[in-house]
Amino acid sequence: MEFQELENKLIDYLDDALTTEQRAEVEKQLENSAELQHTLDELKMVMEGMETAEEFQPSPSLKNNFDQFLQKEINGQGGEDANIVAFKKPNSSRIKFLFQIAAAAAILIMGVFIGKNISGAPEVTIGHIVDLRLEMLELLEKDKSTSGRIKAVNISYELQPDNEIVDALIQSMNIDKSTNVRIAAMEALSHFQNEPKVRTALCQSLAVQSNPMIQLSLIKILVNMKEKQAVEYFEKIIEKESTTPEVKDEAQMGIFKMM
Amino acid sequence: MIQVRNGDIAKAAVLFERYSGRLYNFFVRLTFDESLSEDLTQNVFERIIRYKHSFNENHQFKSWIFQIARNVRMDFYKKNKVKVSEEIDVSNVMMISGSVSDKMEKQDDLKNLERAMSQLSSEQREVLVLTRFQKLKYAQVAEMMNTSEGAVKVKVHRAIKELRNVFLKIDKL
Repeated sequence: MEFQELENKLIDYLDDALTTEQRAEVEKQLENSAELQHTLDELKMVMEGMETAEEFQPSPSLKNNFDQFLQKEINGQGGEDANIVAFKKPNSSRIKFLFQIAAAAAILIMGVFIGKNISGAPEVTIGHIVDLRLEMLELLEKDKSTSGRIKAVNISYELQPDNEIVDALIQSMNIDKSTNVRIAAMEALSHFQNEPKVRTALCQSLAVQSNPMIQLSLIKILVNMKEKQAVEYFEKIIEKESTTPEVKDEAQMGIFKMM
Repeated sequence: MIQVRNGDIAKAAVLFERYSGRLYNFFVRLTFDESLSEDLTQNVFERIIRYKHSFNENHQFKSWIFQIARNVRMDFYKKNKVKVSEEIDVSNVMMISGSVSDKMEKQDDLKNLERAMSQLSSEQREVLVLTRFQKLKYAQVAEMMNTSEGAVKVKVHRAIKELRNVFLKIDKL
């Protein structure tokens, strides 16, 4: 047995993490080697030192500051989430608020277009589907208005995903100039989450998105999908200096939730 | 924590009583800076209340709170553009290790141990602080670091061996 391996055994020995047989074997080797016994003593001193180290005591100001903070939180607690308002960084609640507005706007626009164009559609025929598909791809690629491109994204809900549709949605999610279109494309893609290509694209998109609202939304989608490969992307976004603390925390919690 | 999550924020005072000392010690042993450690500890409790809804009782509270502590520390260094490897001020190490009680029989050993800790890499120091000083289980640390229990054990063993080597060097000076 190499010395390094023996050292590991000695640590396990001191941790009482060996079986009876392994323990007996280590003790036998200790009897035959003064050097090993010496190493054991040194490791024991270091390990016991850590176990019995004195605790450092914080100053009373730590508790005073916390009590003041808590009191403010309790006083400011009007509703379930009212405490967030009292925080040092109000940007977080603002971002969430903006996100909610953007999401609500996207849903409203979706509703209007679905109501106008899809629910009232005539009986679904193969020809109709082909038309819808073409309309969707053309709108998504060429329409200059945000509402037109959101309409295209919504049409995709009615279609069976094929490579071209998925690619068009991925492209919109990653490069469309409108946040609402990017969010709508992301939501649409999440409905095709059984496609491995879609799952990978959603993960990779996290590396290209810079808007915190989209990042938060993507993280939530990936966590709901329990997409394990997303962990790597979550770690990268946490490491990124420009990432906001809110997104970092969401990504961190995402990693936790997926364990 | 479940009561805090459900809106009874006043119960955070109980969590503070139970964990503030441990968190403070976690930070002191990593940063060797008492004042900074108080700020970071306070920051952890602010985040706990802020993100109370994200607490999941399927995970152990201890793992969750130390995970937040790790994030708080990393964010602090990123925000202040300080590399984690440069986080320790040598004069602070002397002061902290010097504050180890003189009543202890092995006072010199303990002081040297604190100094040896300061010379480990940040990652090695962290695994030792979590598993040895804070007595978290390998499984709990593995959950935090998104790795396996075996990988944590390997890291801990390497760190202990390195600590022993550094300790012996300091002891000979």
